[in-house]
Amino acid sequence: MDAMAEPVRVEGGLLEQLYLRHATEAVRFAYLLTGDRALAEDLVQDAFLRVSGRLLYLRDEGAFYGYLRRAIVNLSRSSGRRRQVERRYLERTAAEVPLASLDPDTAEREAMRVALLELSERQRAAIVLRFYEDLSEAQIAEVLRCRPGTVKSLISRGVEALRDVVTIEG
Amino acid sequence: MDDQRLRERLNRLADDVRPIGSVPEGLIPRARRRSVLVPAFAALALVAIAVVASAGVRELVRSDPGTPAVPGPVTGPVAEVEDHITVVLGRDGGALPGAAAAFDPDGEPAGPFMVALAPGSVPLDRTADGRLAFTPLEGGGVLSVFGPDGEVTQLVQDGSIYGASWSPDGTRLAYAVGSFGDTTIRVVNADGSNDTVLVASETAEWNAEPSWSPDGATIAFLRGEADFPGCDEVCRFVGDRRLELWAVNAGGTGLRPLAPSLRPRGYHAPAWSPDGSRIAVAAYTPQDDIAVYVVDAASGQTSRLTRRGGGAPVWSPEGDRLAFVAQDGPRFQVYLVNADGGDERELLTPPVWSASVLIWDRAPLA
Repeated sequence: MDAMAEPVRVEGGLLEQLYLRHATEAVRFAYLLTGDRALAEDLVQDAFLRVSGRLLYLRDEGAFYGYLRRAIVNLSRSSGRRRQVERRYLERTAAEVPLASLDPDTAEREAMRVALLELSERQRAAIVLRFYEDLSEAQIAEVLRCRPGTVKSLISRGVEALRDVVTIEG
Repeated sequence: MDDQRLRERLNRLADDVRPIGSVPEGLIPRARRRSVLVPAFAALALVAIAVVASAGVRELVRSDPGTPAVPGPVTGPVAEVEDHITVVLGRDGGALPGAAAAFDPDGEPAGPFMVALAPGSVPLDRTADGRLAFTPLEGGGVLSVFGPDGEVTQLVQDGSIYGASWSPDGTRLAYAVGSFGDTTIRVVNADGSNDTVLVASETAEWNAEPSWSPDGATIAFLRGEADFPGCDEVCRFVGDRRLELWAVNAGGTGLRPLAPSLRPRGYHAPAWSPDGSRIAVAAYTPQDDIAVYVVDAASGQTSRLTRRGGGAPVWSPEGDRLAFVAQDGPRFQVYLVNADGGDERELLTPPVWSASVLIWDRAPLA
């Protein structure tokens, strides 16, 4: 009997592989939620720390990205993060270069970024989960912890709000 | 607007982020610390002698006194979540205590992501600065404090512990000690000095599971006869059926019943809401199940909170939710419920010990 048994450790190599495998996809997803690359990277690192702490209880490694995505959504919706997103948005808006002075590709992406940030956080999460992550309404409902009917409504209002920027700029 | 066009626009925007080919410095060591887990199934030198009825009990005896050293910290990862629920994992379907672990009530999955104590040590309450009062099930002493720096202080040497609760400022600890059916409530300074009786056991009597109010003025606890006609071995052992919710002023005056109509279950400490207005208590229903009730501290009015049976209630730091332990088939789980009784749901965790105390706080986990 050894009450001071050595703890079980998840090897650093596995964690590194998991990070490299999912980081780009995760940061891109977080960027669509926050509109800010530095904030997105920061958020993904926090989410990675959260999920890696529970690796031993993940039923299969293939589920890792699903948990990471959920942690990213939860963290992006926490009040502190929300304030950061709002502050960064205001800072960037104040320093904004007129869209007309940008090249067409950059202007199109910038218009989309701003339009996304003007959605409510739940609408934005629903839109990104549906049209970027390709989740079903039921899967989105699970991530956002709401009813599928609510997801349908969030998506429908979000799409409506994005209509102008997507059709005119597109 | 067609969906495909929206997809293309999102993909183009996402391409603003260049592919990531390296790991940020320091991330993997931090992640590795977070993924440390002490096996929940390490053997214990001391064992629980009985688990009575479905909820289990926490009366434990020494099978080999005096051998190993006081269990202390095994690992020391620092949790980086806002708040967490500390619980003891279960062995043998929840009948026996395993390792202590912490869970993120908003995490998916919830955890575990740290273990602070050697397996078999039972956390009871933690101060805001992270000093954890616990019952070490092996080694010397029956009530100890594990500080954030890793030091372990033995506060009480003899008897069995039936609950402990810190004063809100963390300077004093109320605890119940004795043998079953004859327990007193005492208060001791955090450094072990000035250990005094608060509520004595005049006859064979339970005075157990103290819980200090958030304003520091009152200690709620369970009190009742331990021996009466018709009370069999099991009844005496768990101190059940005639327990009541009582309170005493922190100075020792004003001993009084709080909710005479309620029949609390032994071994489940009452829990004050953070604003001090309500007390959650595990108590018998009219159908003789056990469920979580909420008592209005001023009026003593009670109402049932949880739909399912369960005990060991604890409030969230904001007071908007509670966690409790309930049986789900052969295993015990942590459940969450809103303070108004809504949204009762399971927290995804490994099985927990049936008699575990829950601690829901934001203190450093050491």
